[in-house]
Amino acid sequence: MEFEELQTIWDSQKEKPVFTVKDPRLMAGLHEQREQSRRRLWRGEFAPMFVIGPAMLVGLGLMCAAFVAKSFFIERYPRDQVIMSVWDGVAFVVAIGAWLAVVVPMYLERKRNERVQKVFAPSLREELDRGIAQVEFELYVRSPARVFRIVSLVYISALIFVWEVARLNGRPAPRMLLPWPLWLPFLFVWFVAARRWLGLKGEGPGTIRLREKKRALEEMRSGLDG
Amino acid sequence: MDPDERQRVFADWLRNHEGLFFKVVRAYAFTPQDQEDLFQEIATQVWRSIPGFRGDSAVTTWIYRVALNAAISWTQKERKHQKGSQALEGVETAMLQAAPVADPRVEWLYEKIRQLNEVDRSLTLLLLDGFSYKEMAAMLGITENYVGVKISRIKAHLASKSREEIGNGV
Repeated sequence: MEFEELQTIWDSQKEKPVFTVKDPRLMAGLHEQREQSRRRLWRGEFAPMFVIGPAMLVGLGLMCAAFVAKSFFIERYPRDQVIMSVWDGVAFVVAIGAWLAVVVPMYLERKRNERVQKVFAPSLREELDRGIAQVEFELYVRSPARVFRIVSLVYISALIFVWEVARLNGRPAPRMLLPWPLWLPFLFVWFVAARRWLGLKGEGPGTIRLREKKRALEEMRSGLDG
Repeated sequence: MDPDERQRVFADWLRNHEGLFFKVVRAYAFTPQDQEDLFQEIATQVWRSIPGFRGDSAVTTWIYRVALNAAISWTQKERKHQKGSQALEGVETAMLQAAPVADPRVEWLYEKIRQLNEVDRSLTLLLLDGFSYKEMAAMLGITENYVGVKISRIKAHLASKSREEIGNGV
């Protein structure tokens, strides 16, 4: 057979589509991707906080109780020991409040997302809707505003924790901790400067991939409308 | 570029040049899972290339260039990492299902194309889709003379294979 005949064979495939999309398998594939995203977020984002958060709350609670008990039984301790003041009480409330402000919204936002995701999707369109919602949730979890809020609250709580531990151990004004409040803004400025110096602009590669995935899913969904 | 416009262009290209995507996928990927993986890779690269398209070449030429480069890079990455497919365990291929072909010799032709090295595969696809030697040279970054030499060898090879196999009723 000469090459020209091979050309004719090749040209015959222009008459008909080469591939078609298999809806049920596409649905299964999309469902699996969605499940992987949910597992990834649980393992990497929520599970650690749901362990660390309550542990910190218990730690702060015990410290507060220890400080209160020490203040009642101060005669048993040397005179230079520190007793709990009103400001210590305020500090404990702020620290506990900060952790609650981290953990409770996390719990609620995950619960809200799970309520959407756990509903069975009987059609390709609904599977695409769930997929888009999951990607949007993942983008929200990565959003700079949310990350900054959580990091700031954890930082404040950790700072207070360390301060109160020092006071509980007899240091009335642990001045060596004073530079600590500068670390977070310093790290933030360093991070921004480093990104500028490296020429990194806009969103990171992970976020860009998520946005592309969202666009692809939206494109598929609009394709269902014909 | 406006994101909505980019999306419109991408949808338009995918709709009007779907066959081109699938030809490259079939020529470079062997298993259904790999074909799906490569299809997604090519679609992603085409999406990324849209802002760079200035209209100084035909859309088909542009898409072919992007698709072939993506396919060659993908093949090299697959070979280097000895990576299997990204198939979902227990789930069959999601996207692609080969439609019944009018001429079963089309599948034979793809099989022969897949046996060639990456550059020869690209040249064969471009030749069969009617591109000139000059266009092929520009797309692949090789000289026109070299394209000519390669094409002669490819034509002779395919013609000889077809005489041996199709001629013998394989």
